[in-house]
Amino acid sequence: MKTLYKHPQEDAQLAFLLQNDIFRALTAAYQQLHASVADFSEIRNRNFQVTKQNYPRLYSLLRQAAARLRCRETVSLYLEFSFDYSCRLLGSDGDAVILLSSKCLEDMDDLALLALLGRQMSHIQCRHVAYLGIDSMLEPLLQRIPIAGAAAAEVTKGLLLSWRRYAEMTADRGGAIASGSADHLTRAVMYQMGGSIRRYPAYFAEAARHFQPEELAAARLSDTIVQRVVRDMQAPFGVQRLSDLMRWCGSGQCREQFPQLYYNSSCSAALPEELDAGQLFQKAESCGERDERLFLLHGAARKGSTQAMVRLGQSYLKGTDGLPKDPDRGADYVLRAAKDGDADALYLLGQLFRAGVPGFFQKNEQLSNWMTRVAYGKKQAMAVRSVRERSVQVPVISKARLDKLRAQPDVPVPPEVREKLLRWLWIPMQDEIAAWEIAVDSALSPKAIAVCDTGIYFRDDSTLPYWIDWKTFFRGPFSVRVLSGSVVLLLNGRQLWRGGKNAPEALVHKLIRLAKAKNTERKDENRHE
Amino acid sequence: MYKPKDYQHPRDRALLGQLLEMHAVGQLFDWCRKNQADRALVYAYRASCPEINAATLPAVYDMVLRACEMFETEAPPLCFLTHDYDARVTAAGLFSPILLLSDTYIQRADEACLYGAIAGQVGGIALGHQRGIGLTWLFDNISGLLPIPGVAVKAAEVLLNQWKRWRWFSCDRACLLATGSEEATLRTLFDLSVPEDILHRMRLGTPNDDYIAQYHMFTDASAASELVTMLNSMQSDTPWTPERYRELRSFCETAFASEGGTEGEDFI
Repeated sequence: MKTLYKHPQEDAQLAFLLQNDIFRALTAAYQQLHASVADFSEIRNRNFQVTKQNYPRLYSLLRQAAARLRCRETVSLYLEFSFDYSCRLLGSDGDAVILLSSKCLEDMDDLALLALLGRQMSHIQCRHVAYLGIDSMLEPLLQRIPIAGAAAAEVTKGLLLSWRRYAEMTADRGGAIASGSADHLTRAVMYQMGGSIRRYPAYFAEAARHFQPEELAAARLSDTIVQRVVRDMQAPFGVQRLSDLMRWCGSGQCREQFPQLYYNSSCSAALPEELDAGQLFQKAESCGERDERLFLLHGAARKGSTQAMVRLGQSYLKGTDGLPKDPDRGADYVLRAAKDGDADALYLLGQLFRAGVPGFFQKNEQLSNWMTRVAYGKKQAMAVRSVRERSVQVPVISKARLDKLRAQPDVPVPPEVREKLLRWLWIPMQDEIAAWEIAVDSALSPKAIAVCDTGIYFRDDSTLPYWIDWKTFFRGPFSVRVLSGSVVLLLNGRQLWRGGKNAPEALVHKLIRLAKAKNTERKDENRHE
Repeated sequence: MYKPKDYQHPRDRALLGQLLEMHAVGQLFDWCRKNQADRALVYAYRASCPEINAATLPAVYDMVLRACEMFETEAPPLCFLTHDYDARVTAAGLFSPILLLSDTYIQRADEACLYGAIAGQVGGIALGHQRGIGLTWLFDNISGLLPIPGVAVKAAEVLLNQWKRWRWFSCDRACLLATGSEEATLRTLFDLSVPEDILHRMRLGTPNDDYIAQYHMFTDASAASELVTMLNSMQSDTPWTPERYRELRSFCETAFASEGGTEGEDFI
């Protein structure tokens, strides 16, 4: 994979660099001493490791970046507190970790973060880590040797700088591949270069596209001056790199090897700005020319058209309509449309869970039924037919038990709350909501739980909701813990919900009582949809 | 329109003049011209920082143009955006002046402060400060490659270190002339170190200015304290805030008095 996107100049520059004796000696010393001792003692003592449990969203972005670049190496991600938009590597080749700054997490969206993580994954995949590490420690090390050391450092740094420029360009391409568009990587680099001014990145990107590199006279002095100016910058050669990336993403090579990147980057073709997502999709539908149609579809998906997302998802899943077979990207499009509540996407997702996609979706009948039921509730034609043909059965709780969970019997859920819960928790419309709690009322990252006749739907820090049907709830080994004064209900060791402090009427207490009484009242049944 | 004599601090003029008259500095500048050092410097910024111009950040660039017109610079400097949490507006370059504007400051500062900070540096550029700043950069970063003897570098550095502190007084005056507001200019002295709401409560530039008490602590310091201040000054590129405050307010009196104003009449 890496050979497909590596910058053509990189290997030549590296070969030149490796002819330098000092550099070779430093590389050996770095691998043995610095990488394993200094860096790792630093991060373990100071930084916070991201795991699937403590930060599922970020962890999944890391895994997604690795999967899209086909990077098999296991890489850990740590967080550091910093006002800089930094994402850097520590360690050495074969044993590297990524260190991401808190400022990136605060300000960047998921796709820009994916692009940044993809950049670092690309460095790891292309075995840049040791050389980048040497770059940062070269000066303090060599300058301890009087006169000769400083001169040697200058020469070696000049060579390293020439290599690094192209290595960063390779990494940018990797970041764009991971995030699926040059636009996301451009946004991330723009942040690092001061483009956090939100109204203007498009103009800056446009300006970067027209950057022309120039030949400088007096190479040694010029190299030294340039390296001294860029050494403290968060995105050295950022403008030049973006210019190179935009050229590459719009090239025939990119179209052949990474069509999804080519069609999804705004630098490849200009879309009519006056059209909204729906209009772009309509235009794509009526367009006969394949290239233009794909540009329009990707543009519509970027602007939020769920129909375009579903169409692209299907094409990538099957490898049709001139797009390569890419189940990961296809599933991603379908998921994004499903998150926006698209009925077709939800049905499609149900089908994916039913059949399973090797390496991406494990077969899961329960999830498949859930998605199909949500689509059925939205009257999606295929879902209606599927439910009728298969007669989907859902275990439902008895009315008496359900009433015990209600705060006030016979008081319906307010329509605006019901609408939010249906959207956030993917509750099928036909289900009856008895009780709910909204801990975080935010469209971007809601935190809520709803108890329905068909089970418990909840969403905590993850990007997707969960459903636990009553059968699983009553059969599963649940436990209760008290953490910092809050009662936490766990099912199969996993946190189901955390109640408010000192709130005995909280939903979690009712659920605990219900679970304890599981053997006393057995009047539950199955409902045929 | 302002001429250098309207706002350049006499010590700034004297020190910069002395510095540029040094034979070694002349030699060094010739060498830089011959080796296109200035071009490499501009290239490094151009390749790494988004350029600010009428298309990218029109409102900010307009401030730069207004300041250039006010101080009659030969041409507008090249302007670049940077991400630096602790910076406002910084002048760089050697022969071609460069202005670096921090994104966080652009977003945080109000219009008067931002214009004042830009005008302060543009005023400095009109006085030729970029040559002193460029020299400092060369000494700090590539001293090993310079074609002049170490003794000459040291001699120039002594002058440079003094000049770097005095140049700020000229920049503050330029800021004042550009904004026409004593309060806004005084605020630029504090706006990165004092939270906005506290800064507004300090009533800077008024007869009830809250900073005066602290200013007196600085001026009435003991001999030992003064010595420590002096020693600490050697490690800093900018003068102490009370010094800038004093210079600014005294300039304010003369500047506004010459225009018939009375804004500074209750000064200390």
